[in-house]
Amino acid sequence: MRWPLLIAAVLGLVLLQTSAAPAFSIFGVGPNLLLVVLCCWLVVRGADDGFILVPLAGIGVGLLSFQGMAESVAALAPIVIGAALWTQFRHVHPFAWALALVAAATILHFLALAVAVQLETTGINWLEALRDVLLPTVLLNVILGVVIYWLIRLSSRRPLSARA
Amino acid sequence: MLVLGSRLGQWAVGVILLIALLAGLAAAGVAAPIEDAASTVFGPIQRGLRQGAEPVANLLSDIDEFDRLDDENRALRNRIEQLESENARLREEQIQVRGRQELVQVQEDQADEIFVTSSVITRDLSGLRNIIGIDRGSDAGVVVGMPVVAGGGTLVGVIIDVRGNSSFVRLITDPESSVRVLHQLSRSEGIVSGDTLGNLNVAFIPQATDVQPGQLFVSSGFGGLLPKGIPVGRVSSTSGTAQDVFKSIRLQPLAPLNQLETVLVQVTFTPEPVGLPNADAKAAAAKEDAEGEETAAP
Repeated sequence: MRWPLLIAAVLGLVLLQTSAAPAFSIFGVGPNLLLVVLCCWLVVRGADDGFILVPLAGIGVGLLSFQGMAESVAALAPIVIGAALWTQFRHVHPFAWALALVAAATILHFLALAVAVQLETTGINWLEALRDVLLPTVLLNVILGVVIYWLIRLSSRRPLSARA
Repeated sequence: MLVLGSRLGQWAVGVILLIALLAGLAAAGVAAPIEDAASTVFGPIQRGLRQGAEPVANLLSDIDEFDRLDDENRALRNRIEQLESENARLREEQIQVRGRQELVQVQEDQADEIFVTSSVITRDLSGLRNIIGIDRGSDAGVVVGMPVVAGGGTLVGVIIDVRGNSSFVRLITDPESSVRVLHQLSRSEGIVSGDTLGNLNVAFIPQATDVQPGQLFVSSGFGGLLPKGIPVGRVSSTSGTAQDVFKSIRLQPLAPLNQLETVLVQVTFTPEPVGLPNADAKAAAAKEDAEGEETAAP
């Protein structure tokens, strides 16, 4: 029963991310709720869930938005690796790791999509894109991560850190 | 040294293969029917979620732009947009009547134009492009290249991708957008393009042209890619020195591009790019002329 619930939750997040989330524009950019939830979930509950959920989320975003499925999966895939790496750095508090993962995943997500845009179009202004899109997005996602992490952490009866 | 577990390694290889497969499917066009089906099933849900989130999102937007709260409330902006659009149209009519009589016919034809109303269901998620998704597609007669306008009749963008029940619109502020425009007063032609910040910049307006803040730019219709006379933006600033060949002009879009909920697709307009005669045709004509001259020669 756990997996159907998880898959339904990811599908719901994909729908939210591709419809309502971009409307919540702060600092001129919209938060990436899907990415933040996946990062926090995988740090709290373990990276294994990401083996299925992350590709599924990428395909979902690709199907329901202008992004291609391949670029969406590629943009989200580093989350799983980042979450799995935490098992090698157990001395770092999972909250700090989750926020660092949100920041790193946001940067990698941006770079993956920016490269795709660069290839598909006549090019982007990297300086402006980094200053006006990436920096505010990282800040917004990390702030969102503070809330989301604790929501997931407090609702998890057996977080990964407790099992370690 | 970190040692990645074998399961993670296998997964990474699997994901790389999946990405390659998905890219291959997209390149072969096999992904399109799946995307169509997904937009058909989930499009109404996306629309509902977006409309449901709109009031809260607007509240956040107002907090985010507190300094402009006094003069940028939603109702006033809509009203201003309508008035500006009406004003622009009246000016266009005036210029057309003064100029050439046959353009009156074009204006009358506008009354027969058919617009399809469509709701905005998604926006670009990367922050690098200004693209929106709408809930009407080829089933409603939408094709690539059709112009999209806001409720007030001001230019929003152009259809760039069509699925069965949805389409994607490149907004005029997208970095890839390029629209041929006329300065309404001087009739100087320029090209409006967007940038990463969502600004509208006009290029190729000669330095000698008198352009003042507040004046309007409308679509020129040149090139056959857009109808003529659609209001695009109002001049917000101009810059440049007498040594510059062209003015640097920035526009404020007339359409509320950040708060679009419903747009109109002009389905009766089919873009017909007007190109220069191609080189082959020119060469053939020249050859024929030369042969003709040779034959005529004694």
